[in-house]
Amino acid sequence: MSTATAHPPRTRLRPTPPDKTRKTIGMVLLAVAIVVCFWVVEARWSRLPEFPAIFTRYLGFMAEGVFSNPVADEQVGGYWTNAMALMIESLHMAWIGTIIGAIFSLPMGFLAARNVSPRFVVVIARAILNGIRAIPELIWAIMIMLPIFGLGPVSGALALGINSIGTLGKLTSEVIEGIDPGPVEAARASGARALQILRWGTLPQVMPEVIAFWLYRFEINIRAGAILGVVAAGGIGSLLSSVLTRRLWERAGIMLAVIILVTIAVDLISAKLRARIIAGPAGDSDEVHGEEAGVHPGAHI
Amino acid sequence: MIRFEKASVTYPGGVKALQDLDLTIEDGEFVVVVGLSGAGKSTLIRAVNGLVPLSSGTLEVNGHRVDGAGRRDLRALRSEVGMIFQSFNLVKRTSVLNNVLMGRLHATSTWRSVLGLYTAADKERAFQALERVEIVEKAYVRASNLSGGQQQRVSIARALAQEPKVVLADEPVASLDPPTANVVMRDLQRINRELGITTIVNLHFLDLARRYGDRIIGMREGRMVFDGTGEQADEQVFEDIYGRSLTAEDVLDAGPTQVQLDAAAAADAESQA
Repeated sequence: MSTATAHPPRTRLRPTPPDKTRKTIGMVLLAVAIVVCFWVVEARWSRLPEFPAIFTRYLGFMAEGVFSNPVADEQVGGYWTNAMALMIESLHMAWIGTIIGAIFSLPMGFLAARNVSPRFVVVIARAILNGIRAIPELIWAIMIMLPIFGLGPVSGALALGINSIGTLGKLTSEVIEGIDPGPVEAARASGARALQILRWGTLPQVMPEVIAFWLYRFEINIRAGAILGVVAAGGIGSLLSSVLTRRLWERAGIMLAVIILVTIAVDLISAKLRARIIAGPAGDSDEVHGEEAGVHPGAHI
Repeated sequence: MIRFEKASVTYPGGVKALQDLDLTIEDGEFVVVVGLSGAGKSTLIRAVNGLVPLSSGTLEVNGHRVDGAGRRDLRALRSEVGMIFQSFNLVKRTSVLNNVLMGRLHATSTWRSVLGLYTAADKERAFQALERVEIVEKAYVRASNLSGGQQQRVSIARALAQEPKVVLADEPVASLDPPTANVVMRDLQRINRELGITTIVNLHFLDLARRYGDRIIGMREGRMVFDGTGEQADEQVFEDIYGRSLTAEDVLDAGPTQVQLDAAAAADAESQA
């Protein structure tokens, strides 16, 4: 074996390496884009080295607020309860926005799925979803909701809801297009009507992912809702903007702490829920080997 | 009764999957269709419930004209024809019971089925179907948590829940191990014997075909090249159908014998009917 020729005989032509021109052009364009962006934003880059010092100073101010005793100092205690109340209003906005998005995005997702709807319906549904997504929540709130519903959380919730329809509808349609066609064929073969095929062949396949998207969108809506508050659309954001413009760092620190803590809590809960929904009810997984009658009255979608 | 007359199927692209088929299958027969991949077995089976439309010729199933049938007629036909697939085609993310209840969709109004409001009678039918294939204890388990053989039995239960006159099985055991394949074949044979359901099964293992098929149809390149009993289908016949000599890969194993229906089970079947 070791005496084999050092160079094995070439029986086939070796492939030529792929052309690198496109890749090179892409890299050059990317580099140009980065340079242009630096130039266009006209930031005072000379202040960049001062950033750590300034940032720590403000962080210090904020920490003073967060770590002062809320029981002893009545004013600080008030800041905490006030921030908490507004954060809960933000959660309400995000929740209502998510529910609006979920209810309307589900049928839109079916209408926008190529393997479910006729071509012209898909084109129209996608155009609507793309149009919704092209307009940011902020614009929805300022231009459409505020003039109609006035300042306050209703405008914010509706703006979040409409934007949620755009993203959730798109994601739902993509999940529907990725389903296993086998159960659909089985439903058709059993003589089911079109709507029944969707309900029992398609929907149970996509529902775990779709619900996970809804929860994920709820997380996004909480953060987006804080931004919407800045344009007086309710929630913690409205107070945050006035506090920051008046440079009340201690109070801003407390509010920031509330936002971060609540957001992390919601994210953790929602991540757990999503994992469970995707994997299916717990305790159901070793059923293949289980001998006893497995009767789980859990949520079967 | 199922009657093909001069039936042909040509797929887009020109593949002639079925050519001038003349075939009559009487009620209650257990027919096994054999042939190599691409011989037209699946096309034959899918033509029976109209999943594949005929290009020419006529096809009548239980008095329904299948060729040229409209959507409503096709649904009426399909409600009487249960189907079993090689890859089971269960919705794996939902419970076994929900999968079996899909067999009742044809008898459920759209609004009821959208809300999942199956009637108590339909649920009872689903449970009975699961009992018949001996897997009722898994009714509330997600289908994804069952083994392949268990999933195939659930799909048989789904077909049974339709209360069909005909059952079509497209390579029902091709993704199963030999012992499980025999269990599934015996389930199919039992429902044929006990309920008198006309059964058409595609197989490519010739030992299974001979063991379970009362009647064997051989397909080759879209044409029927053999029609006879299991005893008549000897090695020479299979070599003609396959167009080559037989190998060890054409048989599954040496397994248990056919289901013999005893007097008690026959009486039970009659009282059910």
